[in-house]
Amino acid sequence: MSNILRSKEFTTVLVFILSTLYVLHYFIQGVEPFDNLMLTIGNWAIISSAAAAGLGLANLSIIHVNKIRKKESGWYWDIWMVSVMFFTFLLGSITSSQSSAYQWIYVNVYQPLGTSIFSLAYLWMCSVAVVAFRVKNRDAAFLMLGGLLSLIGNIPMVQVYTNVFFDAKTWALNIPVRGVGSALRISLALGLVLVGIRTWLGIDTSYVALESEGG
Amino acid sequence: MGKKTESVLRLLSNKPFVQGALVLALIFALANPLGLPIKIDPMSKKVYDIMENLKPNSKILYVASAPTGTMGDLIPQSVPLIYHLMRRGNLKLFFIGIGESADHIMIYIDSEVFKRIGYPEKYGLVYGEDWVNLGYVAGREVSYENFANDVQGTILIDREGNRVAELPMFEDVHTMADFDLVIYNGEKSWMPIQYWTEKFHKPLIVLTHTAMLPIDVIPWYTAGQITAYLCGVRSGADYEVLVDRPGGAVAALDALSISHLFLISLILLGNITYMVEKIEGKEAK
Repeated sequence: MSNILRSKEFTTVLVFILSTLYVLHYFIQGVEPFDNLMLTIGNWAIISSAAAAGLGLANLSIIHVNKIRKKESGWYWDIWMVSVMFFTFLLGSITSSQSSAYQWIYVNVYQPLGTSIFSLAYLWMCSVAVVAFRVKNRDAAFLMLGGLLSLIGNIPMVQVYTNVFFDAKTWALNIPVRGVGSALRISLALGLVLVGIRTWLGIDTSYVALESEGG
Repeated sequence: MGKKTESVLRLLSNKPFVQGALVLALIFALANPLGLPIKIDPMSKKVYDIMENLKPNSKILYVASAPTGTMGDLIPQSVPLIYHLMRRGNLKLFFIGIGESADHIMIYIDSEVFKRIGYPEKYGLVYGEDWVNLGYVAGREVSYENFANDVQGTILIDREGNRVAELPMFEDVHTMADFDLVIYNGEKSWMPIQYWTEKFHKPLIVLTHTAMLPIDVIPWYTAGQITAYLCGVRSGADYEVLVDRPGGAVAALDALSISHLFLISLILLGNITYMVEKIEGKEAK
């Protein structure tokens, strides 16, 4: 039985059935038994998504404990990582995510660290911009002009004295950038439709991990 | 002169130097607020007017769905907006987080936003009758679709442990059609658009961060699928001024102005130095 459940064919057939149901539900609305069925399936998907967090916890634990056992390079950092991960998990499980201790960890440790990592991208971009916005040729000149326009248009202080840069930046956002953004969105959507159809019809089965293939 | 230009160019190409100088400029601006003037963006004013003109007892769905890393740009907008909604005192507020990082936002709203501006009870709002925290729903597209079609079936228990169906404010809330306005605080605005706006034609206000504005918001806004938007600390500062509650966003604007001006000066210095070096090179030949 477990061989059937783990087989590629079973997974592909399951995906086909569920995909067909969702596609049909887009066009067939207002039929109560069908609506209820799709709501139930959707709730199963939500529960599975929540369970994926637990799966991630287990997976990370296995990977890092193995590294600790084998004393691979930097194994002490793995001890730290696993300790912090399980401490936070147990704290949230035993108390709740609304407890002051759990919230303290989130607000004073996790959130500032997360924001800092993201903010490093800004510093890195600035240091790259100083070099990249150097007028070495015509294309670089356009790049610099666009970058400077965007930067000046974003300075709140400048907007108090003149609207020229802000209006120019707004025009650039609403016309050429919006055009590019829409084109990107359409390309992405077409690609997603293609991937969706291939997955639905079982042509693309890369999501299936098979032990026989080392997956 | 040639050696000087070369050393300036080398300095400007030194990433640690540029990053360190920028950090120092930011620290200076944050430690010594200069009180630089700001001008209210028309889009921020539009959002403010929408909130101000909401009819009494309007049902507002506030959706948090943003990764922790972007909260520095998103929270400054959320704080004055949530304050504005609560200050009205006559709206029905539904807070929910949807997506893999949403629980973080819900914790932050609980622990930081409400601590800064006061809990809803301070504004005369009663839990279960005027406001509710629905916690977070895992999953992505499926969560949006399920929530839109069956609110009480998707969220059985709120964050306080109450059964949602027994709360007075859910008497006439069953699908997305029963809400009057959706405020989406995140960076994947195509999800509420696809599953809520398109199907139920609900006005949508998006709170996003600067990097996502051109790709994730402008195309939808110009197509009329997003009613209005706030973007980053800049909009947060505008909104703080509009609700007459200057806070962290207004203080951060000085840092924004200083850092941008500093970066522009470095770029211009680099280009001037480069031009001088080119001219010197031609003269040497």
